[in-house]
Amino acid sequence: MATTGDPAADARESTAMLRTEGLVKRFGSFTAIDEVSLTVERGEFRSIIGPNGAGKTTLFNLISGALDATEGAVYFNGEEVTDRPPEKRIQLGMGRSFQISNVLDGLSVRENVRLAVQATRRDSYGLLESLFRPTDRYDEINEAVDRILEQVGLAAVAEETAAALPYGDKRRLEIGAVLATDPELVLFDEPTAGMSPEQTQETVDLIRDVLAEQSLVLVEHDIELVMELSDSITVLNRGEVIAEGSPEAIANDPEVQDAYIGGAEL
Amino acid sequence: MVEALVQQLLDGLTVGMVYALLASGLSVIFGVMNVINFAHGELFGLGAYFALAVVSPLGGVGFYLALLVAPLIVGGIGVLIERFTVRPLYDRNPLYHILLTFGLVLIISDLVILVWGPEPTSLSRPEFITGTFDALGGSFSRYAVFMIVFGSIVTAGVWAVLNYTRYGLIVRAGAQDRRMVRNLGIDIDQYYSLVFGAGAALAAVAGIVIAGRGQVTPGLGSAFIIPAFVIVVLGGLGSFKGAVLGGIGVGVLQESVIKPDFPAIDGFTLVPALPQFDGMIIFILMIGVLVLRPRGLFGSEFNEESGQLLVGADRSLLTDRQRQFLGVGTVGLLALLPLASGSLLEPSTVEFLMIRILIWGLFALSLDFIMGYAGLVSLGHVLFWGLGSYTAGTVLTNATESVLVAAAVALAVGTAVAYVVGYLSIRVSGVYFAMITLGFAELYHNLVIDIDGWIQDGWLHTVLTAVPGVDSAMLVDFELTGGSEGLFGFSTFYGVGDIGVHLDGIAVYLGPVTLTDRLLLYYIILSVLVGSFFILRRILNAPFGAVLKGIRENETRVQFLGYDPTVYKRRAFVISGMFATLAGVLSALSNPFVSPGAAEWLKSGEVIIMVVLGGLGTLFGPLIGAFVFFGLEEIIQDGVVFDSLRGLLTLVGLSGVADTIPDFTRRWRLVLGTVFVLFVLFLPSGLVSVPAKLEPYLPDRFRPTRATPAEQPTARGDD
Amino acid sequence: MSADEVLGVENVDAGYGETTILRDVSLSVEAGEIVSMVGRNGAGKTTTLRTINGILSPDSGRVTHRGDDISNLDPAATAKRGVSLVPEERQIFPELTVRENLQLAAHGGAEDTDSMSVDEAIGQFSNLGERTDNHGSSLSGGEQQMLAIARALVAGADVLLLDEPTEGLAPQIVDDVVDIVRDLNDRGITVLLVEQNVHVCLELADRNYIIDQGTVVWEGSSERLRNEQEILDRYLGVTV
Repeated sequence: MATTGDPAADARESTAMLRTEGLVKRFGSFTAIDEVSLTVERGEFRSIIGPNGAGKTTLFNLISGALDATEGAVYFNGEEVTDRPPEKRIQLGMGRSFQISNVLDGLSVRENVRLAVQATRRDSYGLLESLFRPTDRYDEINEAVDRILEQVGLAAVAEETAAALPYGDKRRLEIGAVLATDPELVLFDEPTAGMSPEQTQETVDLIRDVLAEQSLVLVEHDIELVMELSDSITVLNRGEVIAEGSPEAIANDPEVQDAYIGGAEL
Repeated sequence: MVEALVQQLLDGLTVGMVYALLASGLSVIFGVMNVINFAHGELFGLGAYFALAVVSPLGGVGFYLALLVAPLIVGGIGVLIERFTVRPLYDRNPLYHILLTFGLVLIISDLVILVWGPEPTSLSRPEFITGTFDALGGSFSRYAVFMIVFGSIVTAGVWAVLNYTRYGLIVRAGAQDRRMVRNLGIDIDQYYSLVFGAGAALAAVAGIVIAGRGQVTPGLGSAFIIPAFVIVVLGGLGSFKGAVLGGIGVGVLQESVIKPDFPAIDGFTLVPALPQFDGMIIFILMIGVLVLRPRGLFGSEFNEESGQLLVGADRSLLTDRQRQFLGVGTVGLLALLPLASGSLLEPSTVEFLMIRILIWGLFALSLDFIMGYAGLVSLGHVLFWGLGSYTAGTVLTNATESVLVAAAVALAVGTAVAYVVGYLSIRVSGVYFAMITLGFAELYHNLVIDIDGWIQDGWLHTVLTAVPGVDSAMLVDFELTGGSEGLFGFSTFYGVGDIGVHLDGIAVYLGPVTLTDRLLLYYIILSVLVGSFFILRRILNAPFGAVLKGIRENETRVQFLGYDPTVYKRRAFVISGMFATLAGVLSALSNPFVSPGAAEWLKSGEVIIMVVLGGLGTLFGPLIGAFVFFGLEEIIQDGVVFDSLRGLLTLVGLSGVADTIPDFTRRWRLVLGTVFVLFVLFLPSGLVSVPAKLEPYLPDRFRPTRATPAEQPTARGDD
Repeated sequence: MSADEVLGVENVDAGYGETTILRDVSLSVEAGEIVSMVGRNGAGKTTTLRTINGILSPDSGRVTHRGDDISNLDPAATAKRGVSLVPEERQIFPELTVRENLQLAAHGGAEDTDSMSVDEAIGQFSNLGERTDNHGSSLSGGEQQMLAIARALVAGADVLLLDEPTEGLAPQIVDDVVDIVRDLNDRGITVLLVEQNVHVCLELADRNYIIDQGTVVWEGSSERLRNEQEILDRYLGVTV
């Protein structure tokens, strides 16, 4: 899989936003991810779908560094990051949103976003500054925070404790915090789980609005949503990629239909 | 020679058996209920005392009866403890159990002294198991053999119950997956009391075994609990096998391999210096095992159920402005306090009590910085207090009188040690972090007692005399720590070189008020505390503090924002260690002497109490906690409250009831422990949360205007 | 409510914390039936089972067993009534042997039903017979699933809540699980089955509920469902 023999394709791979090469993850004797190789281009919107237990979240964990791969490699922006811890990958421009809303409940909305912005500007201040200069005196950071709060529509509730936000606003904050880490690629793990259809639509609009430039990888159960949003779709089943292609191609793939409705012939 | 070896082995096995009995109960209680039971050592001590109560009237023969009855009584006490104190805390963070059971330690240990008195008593044994018997060409202690056999039978019995009975099956299954046990229709909660009671009974058996070997003293529990914990961690939390094998292994290692000098064996010296490391070896072992294998030797993967967050959401009724006003007012009041000394206040109040409160306030503040803001519960914070006191004491005794130099050296040492300890400890989390820090602190406690001996005529003497220019005579009288006596009589000079002041004998006259040297010292300490408070507050309001607060809320999330939590926690640990060291320095200056008590683990427990009493995760909470802690101690020791209560009862004609009120003046830990247990049970966010709890009952104008967050506690964890 | 109803879910809203998963879910299971819940993952099937079993309590609405309200019973109490959850993760005790896993179940569960004994279970599930002394952690996925079902029966279940019993199993083993479930049902065990594999549901179930986004969107027999290609596609397939 490393080389295709086609020089044009090789060149494209090396400039790809994200590339995995023969990723394998085993838990004991159980193989959760089996030889997964995929390439996400700059600006692409890719969805990963598959039945329960197909290994979608595990794949996300391998890409973002929450789990170590048993075999294979992950390249981000042309750089190998397989052995890098999560924070290093985030620093390189990978963003991750979590399946269950994962904001810092005890902090205010503003503090949540500021913590994320602050992470991207660490080079602009030294250790002593980081220890002793109050957070409200970093103008550049605070302006960026205000901008993001505006973008995700939370400026009015900026001083509220995150715990007090309604669920929909929490998801907005989560997206805002990811946006604030200034990512080039964002991994979204079921951003609309547990939402009403209206909330789902709002969230989708927000993602499209604020993350139009970035490459996005989405794990999602809502098939309509996936069909509507994606440039391309990867289908996982039992840890393996069984299909990859445009939404139309996937919708008409009999093997995918079978994996979804039921794998066993009876 | 064989005789000596066998005797040493017997000694090791006896102690190992005690450890095994003690540790296995602890371990199973942890496995099934996730409870870290610090009171286990006191239950162990209670076993010995109830045995005494049985044996005293009956004589030696009563010993056999005691072996049966005392564990039953202690087991019953264990059931009651579980039901009324441990049970309400199951849905909270397991660290609350550490706090709760530490409170129980204070209560039980003082109750024991109240009932049986502080003097050591010996437990008489039956004729049959006294003296020695002859075998293998030597004579051996009958008691040792009896106890090894008896202990083995009890251990095997417990093992059989765990493996072959319905009860044991449920307990083992519960240790693996409580939820599934419930899914099968078994009320696992009903078994918790029994497990706790059985663990307590095992501890009691161990207590009797050890009491029969020597004497029954009130300190028995605290002497054995720490090694027992080390063994549980070594063997793997929750593993019965690990606890038994670890217990016997450590016992044999300590008593049979390290302690004896093997004088009888010519040409057979294992490592000549080994006995000098006697008390330390298990801590070194534990730290080593945890660093290399964080789950212990036999521990399996287990998920720490986090439950409710340790810290309540920080919300206050006061606006920033009101708070500032209150802060300035308090500092102003504290600054004026010495002026009232000798007139409104007893001289000793400011000169000793207030000085102590301020120093401990600083210590509590330093602990809160990592516990309340980074979620790291250190059980070994006394390490830094000890380092500060001893380094300052050593410098002042051996090098210079300059307090500034001593403090600077101490801070440098404290910071360096904090970095190393932090580096090794922060890779493990939760309970393991608590245990590894405890290990380091105990290691240090042993070191300060032993190191002078090493230098004067131990292995360090040998090493140092090999250095050119060092001769034996220089080392024989050298005092680094003063061993178990400590360091006395160093004088303190507040300055560097020949510019500065000696406080001794100084008095500043301000009209009717005289500021003595102690009062001037009070001002120095007050300014250090206020300065430290502002530095820490500044740090918490800066980007670094923002990351710490984020880590407290959700470490994974912070990592996925691009921060390395380990680095931040380590830095926070170093900062905390520096301020704790500073508190230790101030303590040495104010006394002025240093004794091994400065490094005792009980101090770590007391400072945790202060932090929780006042309120975790707020900077003023620990200061309030220190004030209340010592204030309470003072009131109880003063006896006025109880005297008035007795007077009142006598006045209304209940002199009979009045006479039953014991003399609490010396038993302040009992009262304090009770207050603390009530706090953990009913007011886990500490005194600072009282205004918020009262909020619904306040008139409208006192309510904060901003919208208050939902009442429910913040839950930790991402799924 | 029909006279034969064993399990009833009536207008239940439920979820985790602030997140509502189920919205106004109602379903009914009669004695001796196999009823399936199908739907995409995230639809709310497991949440429904957890609400019945008592891990979750409904925010509104109620759950009944043989006419009694069991909405607020905990999992142990529910299991004692004979309603037993076989969870998706199977949750075999890894450090207990197969026999011990079953013995434990014999100590719990319903007191009044004549439950299967440990030896009967070992005889019934032939592949467990050879492995009685092996630890739970050494079993294959299929063996774990068999043991999980056997354990619920030994605990005296007369209503089995099966959560994705065929997940991650090879086709041959899926067939075995289907046979076992049918066999149990023939002997009077009522089954509420959650499945993603529609073939399994069509094969086994008397009636099916399709769950989508936390609500019941379709209900009917397997024959009807087989012929509703449009429904199958819309709620379970990937065709738009």
